[in-house]
Amino acid sequence: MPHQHPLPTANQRATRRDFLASSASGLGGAALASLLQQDLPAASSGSLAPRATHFAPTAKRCIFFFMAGGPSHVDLFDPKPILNRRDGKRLPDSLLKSAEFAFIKKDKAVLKGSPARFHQRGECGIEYSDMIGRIGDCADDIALIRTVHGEQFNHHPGQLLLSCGKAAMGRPTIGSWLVYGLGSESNNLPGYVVLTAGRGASGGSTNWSSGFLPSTYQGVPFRDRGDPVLYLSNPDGIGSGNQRRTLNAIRQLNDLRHRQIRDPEIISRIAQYELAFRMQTAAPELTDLSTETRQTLDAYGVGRVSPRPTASMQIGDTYHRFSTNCLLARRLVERGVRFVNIVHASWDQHSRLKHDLAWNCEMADRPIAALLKDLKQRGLLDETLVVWASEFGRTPLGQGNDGRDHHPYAFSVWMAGGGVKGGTVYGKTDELGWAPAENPVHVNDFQATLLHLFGLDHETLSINHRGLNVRLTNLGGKVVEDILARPRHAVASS
Amino acid sequence: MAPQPRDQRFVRVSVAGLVTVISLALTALGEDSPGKVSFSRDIQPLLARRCFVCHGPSDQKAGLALHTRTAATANADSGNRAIVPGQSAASHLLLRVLSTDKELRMPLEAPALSKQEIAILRKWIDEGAVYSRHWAFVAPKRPATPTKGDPGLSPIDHFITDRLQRAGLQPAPEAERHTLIRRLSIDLLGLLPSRKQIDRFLEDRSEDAYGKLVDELLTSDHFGERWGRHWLDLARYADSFGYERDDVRPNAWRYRDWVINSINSNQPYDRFIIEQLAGDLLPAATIDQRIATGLHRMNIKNNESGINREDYRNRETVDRVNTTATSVLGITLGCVQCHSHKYDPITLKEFYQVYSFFNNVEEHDIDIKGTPADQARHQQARATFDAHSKRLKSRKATLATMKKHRDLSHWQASLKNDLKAVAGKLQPLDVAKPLRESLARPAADLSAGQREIVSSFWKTLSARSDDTDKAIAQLSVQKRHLPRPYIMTLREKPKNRQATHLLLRGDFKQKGEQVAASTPAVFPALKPRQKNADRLDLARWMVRRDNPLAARVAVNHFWKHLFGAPIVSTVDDFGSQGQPPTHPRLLDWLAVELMDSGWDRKHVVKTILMSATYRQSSRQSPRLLTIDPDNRLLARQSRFRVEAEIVRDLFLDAGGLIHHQVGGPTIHPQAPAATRDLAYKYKTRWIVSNRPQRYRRGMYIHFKRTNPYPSLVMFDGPESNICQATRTRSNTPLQALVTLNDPVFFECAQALGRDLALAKGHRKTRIRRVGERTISRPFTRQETRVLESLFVAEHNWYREHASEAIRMIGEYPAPDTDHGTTAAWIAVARAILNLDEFVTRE
Repeated sequence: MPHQHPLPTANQRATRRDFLASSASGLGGAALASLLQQDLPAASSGSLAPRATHFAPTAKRCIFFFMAGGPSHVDLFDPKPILNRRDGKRLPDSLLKSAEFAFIKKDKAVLKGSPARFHQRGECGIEYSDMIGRIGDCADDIALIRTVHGEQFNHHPGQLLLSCGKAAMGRPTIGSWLVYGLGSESNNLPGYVVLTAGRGASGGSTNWSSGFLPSTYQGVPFRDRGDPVLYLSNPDGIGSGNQRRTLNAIRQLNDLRHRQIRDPEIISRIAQYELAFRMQTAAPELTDLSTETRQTLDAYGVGRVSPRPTASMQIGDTYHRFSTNCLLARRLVERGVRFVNIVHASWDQHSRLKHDLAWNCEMADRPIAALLKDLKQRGLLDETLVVWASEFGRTPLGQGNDGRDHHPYAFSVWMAGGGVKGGTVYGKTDELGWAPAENPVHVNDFQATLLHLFGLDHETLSINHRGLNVRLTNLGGKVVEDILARPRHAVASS
Repeated sequence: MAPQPRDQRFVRVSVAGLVTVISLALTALGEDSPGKVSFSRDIQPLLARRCFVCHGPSDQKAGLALHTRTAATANADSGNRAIVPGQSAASHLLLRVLSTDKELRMPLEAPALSKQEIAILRKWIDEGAVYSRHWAFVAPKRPATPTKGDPGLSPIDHFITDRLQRAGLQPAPEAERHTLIRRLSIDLLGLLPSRKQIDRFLEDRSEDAYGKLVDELLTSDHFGERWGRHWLDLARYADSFGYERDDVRPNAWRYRDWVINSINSNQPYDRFIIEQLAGDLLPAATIDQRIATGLHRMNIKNNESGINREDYRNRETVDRVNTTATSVLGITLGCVQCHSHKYDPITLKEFYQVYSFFNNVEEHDIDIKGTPADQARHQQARATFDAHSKRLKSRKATLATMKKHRDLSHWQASLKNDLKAVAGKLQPLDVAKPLRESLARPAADLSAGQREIVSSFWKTLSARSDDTDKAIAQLSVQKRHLPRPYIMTLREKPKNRQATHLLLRGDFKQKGEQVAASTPAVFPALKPRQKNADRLDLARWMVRRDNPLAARVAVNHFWKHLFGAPIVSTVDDFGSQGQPPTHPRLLDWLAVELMDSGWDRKHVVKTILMSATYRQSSRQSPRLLTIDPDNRLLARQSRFRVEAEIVRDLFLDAGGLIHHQVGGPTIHPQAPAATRDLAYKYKTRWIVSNRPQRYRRGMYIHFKRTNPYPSLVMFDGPESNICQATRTRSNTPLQALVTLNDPVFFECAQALGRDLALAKGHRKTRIRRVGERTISRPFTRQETRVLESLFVAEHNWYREHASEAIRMIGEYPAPDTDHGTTAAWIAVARAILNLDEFVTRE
C-alpha cells in the first residue's frame, strides 16, 4: 500500500466497502439521507470519524495556551530569590561557557533580580508569582513542571519544537496529531480550532499546520469578530433559504453524477457541503455570547479595556479579545471540539520587562483563572486538559536595562485537568533557574505526557513519511508519570 | 523497538475487511514469475524490516550484517555463519528465527517471523541465497514489450493489459470525447477547453483528431505554467524567506519564470536539471543559466537576529542536499544526516560527501536592468520607502524632543506655543486620534479625561521611542528587499572555502572526520573533470545514462500528473523502504524512452497521452471498487479533485475573468483581513492588485510562507517550506465554504450568471449550453430540470426581494435585464461551479 499518503487507509477501505453495500443498486434518496446524517468521512482524505485510543484516556479535549515569545519562568513560576540578592553580579564561568544567547554578550552578562513577589498558593502551597496570583489560586488543580527544556533558542525553531516535536518544517502540530489519532467529536465544528488575540505568533500558520497530513487535520483559525470562520457568511444578498435551495440543487446534481460514475468521493463531497451548511449555523451560535450571564462575562473580563497605552498601542482591545477567547474556548470544548489553541505572542521581554510582563499577566491571569474555575464548576475540567506552554523561558541574566534574553535550558509549563495530578510541582532547577537540577523534562517528554493523557502511546502514534517514522515526540519522549492523577499501570490495565 | 512501516493501530482496526484487498493488491503488484523467490520482492524488504536495525548497514550486532551476501555468509563473532548458501539447515539465521528459546529467538524482543516468512527464507537459502541488487539501484534497460494483444496499441497499453489480464480484468472503454478534451485541457494546461475547441474536436471525425488536439495543447504557453508548477512543489518555491521575519523575496519569480520557459521551450530534462544544480559552473554561463541556480535559493532562510549563523548555514546545506536527492533521485537522505541509513546502503559519511558539493556555495544576487515595468515598480517602491523612512525619522526627532520635557505644557512652550508647529510635529506620530487631538491643544485647555490620556502617554514616551528605533532598525532590511531588478543565484565561494567534516548526529558542533565531495558507492562512480569534484560533476552524474534513478523518477512524476497516482507510489523514496512499482517494466520502458529521446519531456508526455490506457473512461464499477479501490492496475482512468491553484483557475476561466498573462511579478488577489492581521513583523501590506492582474492564475499569487493565501492552503497547496513530492487531496467543509462564499470565487459566479442572463435562447437552452462552458458537456435533461427549478425558485424569491437581488448582483448587473432574473442566474451559476464534477478531472 502506498505510504506517502500516511492515512488511516484501513478505515477508508472499510468505508468504501460500506459504500458498496449501500450503493449496490444505486444510492437511493433514503440511503443518501442516512449516509449524510452520519457525516461520512472523506474517502481519500483524512477521516474525522472518532477512533479508539491505545488505552483508556483521561483527557478528551485540550485547551492549549501557546504563550509565544518566551514568558519569564523566573518571574512567574520558578522563584529564585538569589537573583535579587546577586542582582548585577556576574554568572559563574562554568555556566557561561556552554550557553548560547540570541543577544546577550557573554562578557557583559550579569544576573538580574526579579521584580515579582512570590507567595504560596492553594492547599498545596506551591509558590507562584503575584503577577499571576489568580492562576496561582488554582494551584490545587495545576501540575507545574519547572524543568522543561529544549535546545532551540530562536523563536520560530523553538515554536516548531513545541508544536511539532522537532525544529523542522512540514510536520503536523499537536492538535493535528490529536485529531488524526482520535478523530473529531463535533458534527458541525472543526476538530482543531485556533484563537488569536493581539499580535500573531512569529511562526504564523506553521504553529497550527497539519504538515504532511491532509488539511482536514489543520487548525482552523476562528475570529472573535466578523465571521468566526473564514468565508462562513454567504455573499451579500444570499440568505439561509437561498443557500439551502442552492445546496439542495447541488446535492441532487451530485447524486445524479454519482449514479453514473459511482465514485464514492462524490458522496463525500455532498457530506462536506452539508457539514459546511451546519457550520454556518453552529459557528455564529458559538460566538454569540448573549446567552452567557453577566457574572460569567465579568469573571472572564469580557469587555475589559486594556489599561494604559503600551507598545502595541493600536491593539487596544487585546484584554477584551483574550478574555473572549478564553470564554470561546470553553464553549468550543462544550461542543466537542478536540483541540483549542489560544495563541498570544507578546512575551518576548528583551526590554521593559517589569512593565510589559505585568501588562501581559494582567491580561492573562483573570480569564485563565476564570476558565479553570468555570470548567471545574461545570464538571468539564476532569476531561479537559488545560496547558500553558511556550517555546522557551527567559535568562536569569539581564539584558539591557530591564530585559531578559531567550532561555531554552529550563523553563516552566503547566497543565491542569484532564487527568493530571493537581497541586503538584515537578522538577527542580538549580539555584539560578538556569538548568534542571532534578527531573528534567524535555519538550518531547511533555508531548509524550500530553498524548498519554489522551490515551495515546507516543511511540505507536507514528506515521511513516519519507522513510522516517515521524512521531510528535521525534526521537525522544518519556511520559512524566509523577504528574498523572492515575498511575500509568492502572491506566494500562483498565 | 522495531520500526513500524506505518501506523499499525489503524491497520488493526479493520483487518478483517482488508484481507482480500491486501492479498489481491500484493499478487497484483509483483510481476516476477510466481514460484521462484525474488530477492528484491520477497527477501530484501523482509530483512530490511525485521533484521537490518541490528544487522544492517548502520549496525552490526554480534559482528553480523545481513545486507550484503559477503557479510551474511561470513563467520559472525560466534564463529557461526548466518547463511550457508544452498543449506538452510546449516544456516544459523534460520535456526535463530525458529528457536523457541526467548533469549535466542530472532528478532529479539519482537514478534517472531510468520511461518510463511520463514518458509520463504528457507527456500531462498536453498536456492542459493542470491543477492540481487535493489531494483531501483540498477540502471533501467528497455524491456521487451509483451507481444500478445492488439498490435495497434502502444507499448504502454501492452504492459497495462498484460497485468490486467493476469488479474482477470479488462481495460475500460475510451472515455467520451467531451471527457477527453476536458481531461487533456486540465492535465496539460490547468484550464477549461473553450467552446470552440470542444466543437472543433467533436466535429473532427478524422483519425488523428485526438493527436492534433494533443499537439495543439502541448504547444500552448500554459503547458509550462501547469507543468512548471509541478516542479515548483519540489523546488519549495515561495516569495518570502520563511521563519520569523519571513521577509519578501521580490525577485523569486524570475526563477519561477525560468522554469515555465524551460518547460515551454521543451528544454531537455537533463539540461533542465544540470542548469538548476550547476548553471553557474557551465562554461560562459548565461544569465538564464544563472537564474536556474535559483533552485537552491528557494530554501527557507532564517533572517531572525541573534541566530547562530553556522547552525543555519548547516540547515540550509542539508536542505539543499535533501531537495536535490528527493526531487531528482527520488531518494530520502533525511535520515542519513544523523546516522547511516538503516535500510539502504548509504552511510553517514556518504551523506556528507554529497553535502560537500554544497558546502562552499555562496548566495549571489546579480543586479539586472530589467524591463521598464520592472524599473517603474522599483522606483515606486523606493518612493514609498523613502516617505516611510522620512516619517519615521521625524517621529524619532519629535519623540526625542518631547522626552526632554517634563510634560505637554513644557513641550508646547519650547515650540513657542505655536499650535501650528505643534500639530506639524505631531503629524508623523501614529497615535490614536483622541490622543493626537489632545496633544495639539493648549495644555491648559485639557479636560480631566484628556489630561489623563496625555499624562499616561507621557509616561510611556521612552517605550514609544524604543518602538520607533526598532522600526528604524528595520529600514535597512526593508531597503534590501526593495524590488530592484536582480536575480537570485548560487555560486562557488571564491575565497574562505572550508573543509567538509562529517557531523555526528547531524549536530553542526560535533565535527567528525574530514570528507571529500563524492557520490554514494552504491551508484555508478562519479567521473569528475578534475581531481576535486564539483557541483557540475554531480549534476551531470545525476542525469548520466547509467544513473539508475533520474529518468525513472522523472517519468514516475509525469505518470502521476496524468493518472492521479504514480507507478512507484513512494515518489520520494525509491529506496528499499519505498514501495515497489506496480508496473516495473512499464516504468523502465518509459525511463529509457525519456533518455533515448534526448530527455524529451513533451515526447514522453505525448506518448503517454496517446495510449489507450490514458484515454480510458474513469467510471467506477462496484467490482473494481472492491478489487482495486486505489486503481493501481488502471482498469480505468482516475478521477480526482484538481489542485489548489487549479480550482481557482477553473473558476476564473468559467466566469470569463481569467487573465492569461504568463509570468511576471506576483499578484495579490482579494484576501480576507486575516491575511493581514496574522502577519507578524515587517507587515507588508496586502494591496489588492488591480484588474485584470488580480485575475491571473493561482500560481502567481504572492506566497508568504508564514501566512499563505488561505484558499490555497485549504485545498492542500504546498506549504513550500521543504521539497514536496506529493500533495494530499483532502475534502473538507472549509473547501465548500471557499467555493460557495469566498468573494474571489463568488465573483466568478456573478460574472458567469450575468453572462447567462445576457445569453440568448430559452432558459433550458442556456442551461444546457452553460454546461459546455463549465463541465465541458451539455447538462442532461434531468440535470437541466434541477437547475431550472432552482432558477424558478430563486427568481420568485428575488423578484420579491429586490434589494437583496441588487446586493447579490454587486458589480455584475446585466443591461436590460431585471435584477430578479440576473440574481437567479447568478444563483444557478454558483450551484454549477460548486458541483463535484466542476472541480474534478474525470
